[in-house]
Amino acid sequence: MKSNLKVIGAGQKIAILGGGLTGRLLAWRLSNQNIDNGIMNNHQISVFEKGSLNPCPQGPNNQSKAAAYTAAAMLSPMSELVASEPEIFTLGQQSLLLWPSWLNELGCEEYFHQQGSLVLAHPNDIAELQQFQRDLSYKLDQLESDHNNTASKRIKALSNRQQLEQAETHIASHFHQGLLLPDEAHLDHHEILAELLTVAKQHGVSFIESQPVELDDPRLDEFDLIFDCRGIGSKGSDKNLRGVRGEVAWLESQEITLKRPIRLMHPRYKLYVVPKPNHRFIIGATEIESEDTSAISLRSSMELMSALYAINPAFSEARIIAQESNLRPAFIDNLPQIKQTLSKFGKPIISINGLYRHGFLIGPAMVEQAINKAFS
Amino acid sequence: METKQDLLKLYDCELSSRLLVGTALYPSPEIMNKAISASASEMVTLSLRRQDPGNQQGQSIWQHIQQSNCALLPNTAGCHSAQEAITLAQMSREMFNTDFIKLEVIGDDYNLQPDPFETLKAAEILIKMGFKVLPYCTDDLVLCQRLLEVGCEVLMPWGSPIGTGKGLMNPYNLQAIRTRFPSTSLIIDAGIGKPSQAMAAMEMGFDGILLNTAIAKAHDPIIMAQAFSHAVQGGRQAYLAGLMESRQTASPSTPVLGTPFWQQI
Repeated sequence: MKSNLKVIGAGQKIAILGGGLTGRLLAWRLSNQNIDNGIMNNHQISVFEKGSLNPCPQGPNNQSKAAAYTAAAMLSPMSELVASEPEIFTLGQQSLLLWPSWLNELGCEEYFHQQGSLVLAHPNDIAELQQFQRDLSYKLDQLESDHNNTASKRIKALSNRQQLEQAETHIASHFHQGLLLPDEAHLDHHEILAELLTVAKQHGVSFIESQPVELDDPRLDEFDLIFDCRGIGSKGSDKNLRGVRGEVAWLESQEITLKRPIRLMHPRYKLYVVPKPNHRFIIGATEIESEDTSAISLRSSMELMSALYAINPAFSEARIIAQESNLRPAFIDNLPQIKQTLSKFGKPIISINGLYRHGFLIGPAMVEQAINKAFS
Repeated sequence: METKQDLLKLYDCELSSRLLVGTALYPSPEIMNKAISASASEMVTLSLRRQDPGNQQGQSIWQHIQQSNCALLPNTAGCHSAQEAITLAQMSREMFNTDFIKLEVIGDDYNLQPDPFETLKAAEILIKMGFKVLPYCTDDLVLCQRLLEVGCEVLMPWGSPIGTGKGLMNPYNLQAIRTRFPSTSLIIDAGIGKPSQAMAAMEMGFDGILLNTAIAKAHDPIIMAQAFSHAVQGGRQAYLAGLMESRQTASPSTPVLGTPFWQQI
């Protein structure tokens, strides 16, 4: 009932810098007429994107595109807990609940898949799997009082070939053990990015592409509130940001079906493959402490491809659709930050950055926090 | 009585800490810096190969590493030939203004075993170019001898393959190297998984320990760095203090008065 709607900060002119995942989620949430228990708004929202809003997956590597396009969109708070701080786990758990409900609101819940994820290692590297299980159990137990869920419930050990095959049919015969993390999920992220753009536009958001905007840009004077979601694009105004190079490859195979993401433990690289619509798969991700944005290296490509081949040799006849690299924005602690500052025009700027390799994993929780900060 | 400071000598550089640490695999640069500080190390290794060093694209992480105020030991990890390693060493000298180079030429991609032939070839050329070469090598006595002959003043034999945490796989060979090259600085590089293994190497008389994974991948890298620091110090002190020889029979440390002689026969 419109008359009962609470109006907070309504009718503001809002600029969102960066049209990647965070920018789009924000634009959609802020433009949604019935968000947050009936808070009504009539914001005028403009999103400025430096690159293309619909980058071609097979496009040249120097085409500027959001880091979200070079992600695999796994929602894997537990797998990430092994190498991340508990804060990422907490934000990931929150987002794991938000994603299905938000996609339902968007009308595309079919892009959310909660089939868990599978962690594998070759028999020679079984110590890597044991280490992963040990580290994850330890960290989950440390958090147990907060989350009331024991490690044993959240990690299902698949201890023989039969159990492994029951879980995932198309796994090469040399794998005999694995770990199933039933709570984890994955997204069809390209479809979601497109849907967010479409629906936000329907809500009246204007998207302006090929428009790099710095915080001192005179055009920002006319806005009441600015959200800075430019990722590594903010490096000019935030020297604490660094880019961490990631590389992925897209493949297509009609022969193989995977229900869920698979992580392959290896002594030196941790690689994953994530099923995507239309018989496609994305494999990644290298993690290189470099701000190099050139095309994928032969070595990285060989690592990714050989991992996929090892999961099932039938992947040898898969078609390579694209190989991409991009920079993930990170701070020194590899944790995200939401900061509030004032622009040179005296307007509030909320910056959301440092989501590192966790954009899809923690994006919704971060966007909720940013909206609360802006309108509290 | 004035005691002489016990320093680790690496060419013309003297360090009071005998623990050198790597800078890869940490959960974040912040934790890396805290762990380096907790380890009390004065020299850290850093890897360039995959970071597009020609275009200096690793600046962000290198700046974090430089904040540790440790001497830098750039490495040639990821190189498979002498030529690759030499090119990378030249780049690192230019970038970090140091002649020190940890020479690492990999011969086997799976267990990262160093290639002795390419390592020796690269070491000879790099020494002639004025580098202070610290070669990562196996525990082969003859290889170590050849590396010394071409001018290396420090050797870094492995304890066991990189990242395995298996400790000192071949104590016999390591002891042979230690005994044969008593005045060469010898650092155990790779394979150390536990502080006790680092301590054992130091007790054998090795001059230092270089490690990365065991600290970086611990549940708490900062506390593990402290543990390794204590172990390396303890092992060094034990070596300097003089270890007792092990014996076949028990020998009471206090006289057992009243024990008849026949019991000791």
